[in-house]
Amino acid sequence: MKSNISFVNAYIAFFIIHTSQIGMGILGAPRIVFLEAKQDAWISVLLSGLFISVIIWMIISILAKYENCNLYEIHENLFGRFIGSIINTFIVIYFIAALYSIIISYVELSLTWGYEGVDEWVGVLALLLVTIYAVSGGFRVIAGVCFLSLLMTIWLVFVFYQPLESINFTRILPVMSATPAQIMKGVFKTSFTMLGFETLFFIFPFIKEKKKLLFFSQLAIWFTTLIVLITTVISILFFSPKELEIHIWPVVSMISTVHFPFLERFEFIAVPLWILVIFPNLCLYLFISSKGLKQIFHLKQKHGIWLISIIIFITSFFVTKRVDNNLFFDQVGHVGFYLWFIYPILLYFISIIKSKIFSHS
Amino acid sequence: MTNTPNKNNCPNYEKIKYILNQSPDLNCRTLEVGKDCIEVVFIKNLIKAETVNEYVIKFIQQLPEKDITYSYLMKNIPIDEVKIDFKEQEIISSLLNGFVYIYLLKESKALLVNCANPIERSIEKAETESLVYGPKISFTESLSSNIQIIRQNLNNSNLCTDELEIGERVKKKLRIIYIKDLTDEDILETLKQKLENITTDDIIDSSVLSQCLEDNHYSFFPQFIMTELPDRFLYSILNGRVGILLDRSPVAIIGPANFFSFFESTEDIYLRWSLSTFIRFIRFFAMAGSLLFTAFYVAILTYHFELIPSKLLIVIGQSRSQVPFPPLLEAILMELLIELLREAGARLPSKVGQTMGIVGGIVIGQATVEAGLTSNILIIIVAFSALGAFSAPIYEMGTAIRIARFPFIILAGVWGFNGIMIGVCVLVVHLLKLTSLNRPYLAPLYPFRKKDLKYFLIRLPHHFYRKRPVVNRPLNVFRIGWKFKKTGNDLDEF
Repeated sequence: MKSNISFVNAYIAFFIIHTSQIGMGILGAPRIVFLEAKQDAWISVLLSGLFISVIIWMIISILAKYENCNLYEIHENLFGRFIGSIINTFIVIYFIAALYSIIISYVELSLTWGYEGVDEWVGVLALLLVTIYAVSGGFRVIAGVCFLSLLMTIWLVFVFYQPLESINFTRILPVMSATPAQIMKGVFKTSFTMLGFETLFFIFPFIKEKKKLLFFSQLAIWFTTLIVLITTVISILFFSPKELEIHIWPVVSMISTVHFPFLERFEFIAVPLWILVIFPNLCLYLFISSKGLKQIFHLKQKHGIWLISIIIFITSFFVTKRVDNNLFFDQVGHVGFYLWFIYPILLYFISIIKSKIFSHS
Repeated sequence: MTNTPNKNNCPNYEKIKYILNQSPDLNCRTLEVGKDCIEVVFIKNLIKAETVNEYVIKFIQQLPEKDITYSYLMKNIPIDEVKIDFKEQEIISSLLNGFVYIYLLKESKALLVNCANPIERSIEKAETESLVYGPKISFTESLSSNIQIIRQNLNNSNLCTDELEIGERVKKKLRIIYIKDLTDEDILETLKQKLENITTDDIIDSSVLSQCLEDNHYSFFPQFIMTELPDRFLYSILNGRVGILLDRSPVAIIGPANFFSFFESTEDIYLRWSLSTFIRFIRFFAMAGSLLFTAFYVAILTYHFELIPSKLLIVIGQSRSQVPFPPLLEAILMELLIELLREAGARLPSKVGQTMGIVGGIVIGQATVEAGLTSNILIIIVAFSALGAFSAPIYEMGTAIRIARFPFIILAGVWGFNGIMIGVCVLVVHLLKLTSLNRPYLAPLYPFRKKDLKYFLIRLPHHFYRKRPVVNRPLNVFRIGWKFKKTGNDLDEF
């Protein structure tokens, strides 16, 4: 089975990791970090970048121990088939939940900005069908989606030059006024946005030159950190503290001040364009969760993607209140934090201990 | 010359007549030379009468009696193409191709000589792909003259023209053309495998053949370049692609194709690099606009009129104030109207067609606006998108874009810009999934090949083109381009 795997070059890992990190989170990130760390939010962002950088290093050293294995296979290897499957099931549920929350939060965003009349399920269905179409093309297509998605949306960064005209530098002062505890809380909140680097666990077998992977994944997470940093700093400088606290998607609110001679309200372009930004996330998460189903239940991936999509589609009918959704996103974020910020450290030491025991015996 | 055909394999005139269903075209001259009898069998309308008279009948009659043997005839008959070892099926198909069947009754041996008189159009200027600059010659229906054109233009011993036959009932000759030390063997092997797998009674034209060879039969997009220009054909061959020529078809097939090669024209190479880069961007822009502009119109007017600056909004509002339809219906109506005009223009006899096209366009365009059925703005947009689609150097890509426009318009009507973005996602994924002869369709964009961008996205001065594009995996990457000499002179020297 491993022989006809489709390999991609190492630099593609940069695009995959970066695009899976950037998604719905960044639109609201400046606010939620600001709520914790106030004008020192940018320190939190930098710290969380540093944190992820260390974790990436750990992840790669775990993966390097098991050649051509994804996390599911490593779990089975470390803990045996039964316990491994339980952990894997948990991870699959996490990814399905993450996929669900991305789709729902996007549909919510698009309903807020311009499509009040459209039914929610239309959006969910459309996004799911496109994702299924992409994932059924296999990993090569998903990698291509990540690559092209970044290429087609990176210019959005330059749109920020217009809000730059009305910023107030004094808003970031005084520096270091937040307590370390507040900053750490900020790091915790930033992590929700920065999640997505865990895809590295699952794309590893597909990468051709594994030695270059560390470089490109570090590059990816620092690039993400840079972009989150830019948006956070500009948001802090742009909004007054009270304004920033009430804008749920400060980035979109900021984009809505952008004017072109031929476009009055740019956010109506930016919000649909965000589909291209979340599209890699959707593809990767669906791919990874269906891969998990295959590992645990030996369900073919092409059936798995349909099963997962049907589950998400049906669930989307039940949870419709904004409050419930928010609660759900927070929970997913929390689980994600423990799963991908804390657990890899644990896994790293377990794998070291286990390999030491084996080398002794 | 040791081949002596089996007796049973050489039918006489009666048998051939029976096989060919007593065709009135089948003629037989029986020459009596001494004791021997020679049957000269041919199909009347397919042979060149002078050749048969001069070089077959007269030749045989002038021979002394002792020379009238199979082996002498075989060696000395003054015709270039002689077949001596054949099966019965081949006799019939050769006869139908204009061969003359010479049957020696005494020896009951036979030979076939070529006296064919194929109908050939003279070589003319290209009609569907027109160039302002560069060679004007185009392929014709005759395979032999097409091969002649190619051989004359590409004088290289490694130019291979492998012959195959295709079709069960109607056999057609087909040539696979490539340069042996350039073309990747995998590509060639895939193509040959695909050609072998085609089992069909007949292939009418090379366009049908290209559809049979495609990897994805359900796609809107052409997966082979179809061209009638020899220079385009040769350019592709020299870059490591494979070409196919089918007999009786003036359009050559080139593969593997990628998405961007449909926006190349050989004129881009002939013109200066600056102009061709500019023109290429115009083409890309025209394509994107043709695909999306009408959809934008529908999306903006249905969902997001806040997008438009107020001055423009007044103009649009005024022109749309009379229109009774929703934008979606209005746009689809106008798009269909343009397609109708195009189709009518293509089908009508050429003289009437042009006038009808112009008059129809102006009259219908003007009248619909004055009657208040559409807005002026929409007419402009629809006209632009029609123009954009026709700017594709390869006609098939233009048609693909024209068709792909309609789903976008409908998506825009259903879910505004979000619908368009969903459409773009589907399009991107679809292009990523497509392959042509197992090579990725979206190369060199994905998989990303930086050095090939100068071939497919832009043009640079010619000394940059020292390497062939790697997307076709040429065996020999280097083309020895002329060296761009930098003089080491300082400003005050010369």
